[in-house]
Amino acid sequence: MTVKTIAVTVNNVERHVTVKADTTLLDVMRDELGLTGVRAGCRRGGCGSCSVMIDGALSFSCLTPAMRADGRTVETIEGVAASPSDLHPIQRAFIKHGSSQCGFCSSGMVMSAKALLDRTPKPTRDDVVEAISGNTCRCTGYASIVDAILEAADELSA
Amino acid sequence: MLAYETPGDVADALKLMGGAGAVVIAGGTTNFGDIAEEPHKYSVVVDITKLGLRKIARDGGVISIGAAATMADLLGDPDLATLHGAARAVGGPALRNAATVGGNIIYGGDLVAALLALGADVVVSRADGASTGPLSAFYDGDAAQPHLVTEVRIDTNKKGKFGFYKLARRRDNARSVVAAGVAQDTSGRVQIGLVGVAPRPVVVEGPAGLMDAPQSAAELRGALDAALAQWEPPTDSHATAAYRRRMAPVAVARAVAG
Repeated sequence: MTVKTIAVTVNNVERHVTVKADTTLLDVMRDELGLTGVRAGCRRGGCGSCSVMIDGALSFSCLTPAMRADGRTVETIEGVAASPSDLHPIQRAFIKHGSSQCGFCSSGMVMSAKALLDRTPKPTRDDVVEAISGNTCRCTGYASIVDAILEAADELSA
Repeated sequence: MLAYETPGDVADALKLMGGAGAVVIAGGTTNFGDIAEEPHKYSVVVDITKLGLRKIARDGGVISIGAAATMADLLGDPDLATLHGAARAVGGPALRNAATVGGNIIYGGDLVAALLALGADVVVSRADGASTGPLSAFYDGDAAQPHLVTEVRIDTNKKGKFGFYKLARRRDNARSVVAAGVAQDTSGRVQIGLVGVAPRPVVVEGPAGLMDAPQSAAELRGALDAALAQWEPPTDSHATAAYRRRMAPVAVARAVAG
């Protein structure tokens, strides 16, 4: 087949999108659904800025054929906060620690942090470093990001 | 317009793969970015993730790893602890949730250094049937004929010692300069699997008893240079051939040191 209409549940809402064989899940998120918090960086799995959760597993949306998302559940950065005024503890900790400068990597960082804390509520600093090892940040030097994730872990597991 | 097919069995997959412009995709981590950028180069994407190849099975100490098992699957299996260092060397968590064992074998990734050292066997399907043989021989085979790696087997009855080291420009999420796996069996025989020292992964015999009597990179260099003399390492944006040649004994020494 060359085109297909997929049914994908994105941030708890079922969406129907017609995609081609070469359409990436990243482009569906950004161009079809307007979820531009999912960043298009290297498009090769090298920078992590396109990270989303697919059926609960951290995934690079740039390397995921949209065809393959049919019937799956996707969570993006837009689905992490309960509302713009009620941010997730990871997001609040990022603000507090200044873990974002240009902000390009932040949504991928938050998704990687969430993937970690969903499985490992009390991570070590090494666990956090490992969890964000697929995410590239060219501004912060990472330390403030690691600090924020550790503080969010404390808050979430308290 | 590019087609997307998801065959349900190996025979159908091989048939599709034999067509002009066919490109195989499993985890997609190596090639889907290229496919999405230049779809006009291909005619059909053959998605091989619905062939039932994600199983990890045990039979009397022999562990059979389905080619569609991911790096994360390996890391979640305590019986495969020997491979965990190499599996963790691949990308970051998101990449490891997608990258498959079969893809790593086809593209000669870091895991292969470990698999070669451990004397893994590989099951390969072609139009005329499936065959099982040493992974080292797979790289001598005819890559032009459509073939599908379906399984890799590790014999965990072979007790011994093992080490792995990936030398890269960054600690995490970087392509390797050189990756080395070193396995010593109970008789003291040492096999060294290497990625990055040749256009393809290679396995060479190491000094007997190396895991019990570690040698420095300087001490290993002469024998390793001789064993690899027939090969020209790749030059790319990560390292030159000369640097890779120079780093090979360093990676081996560090794999031994653990």
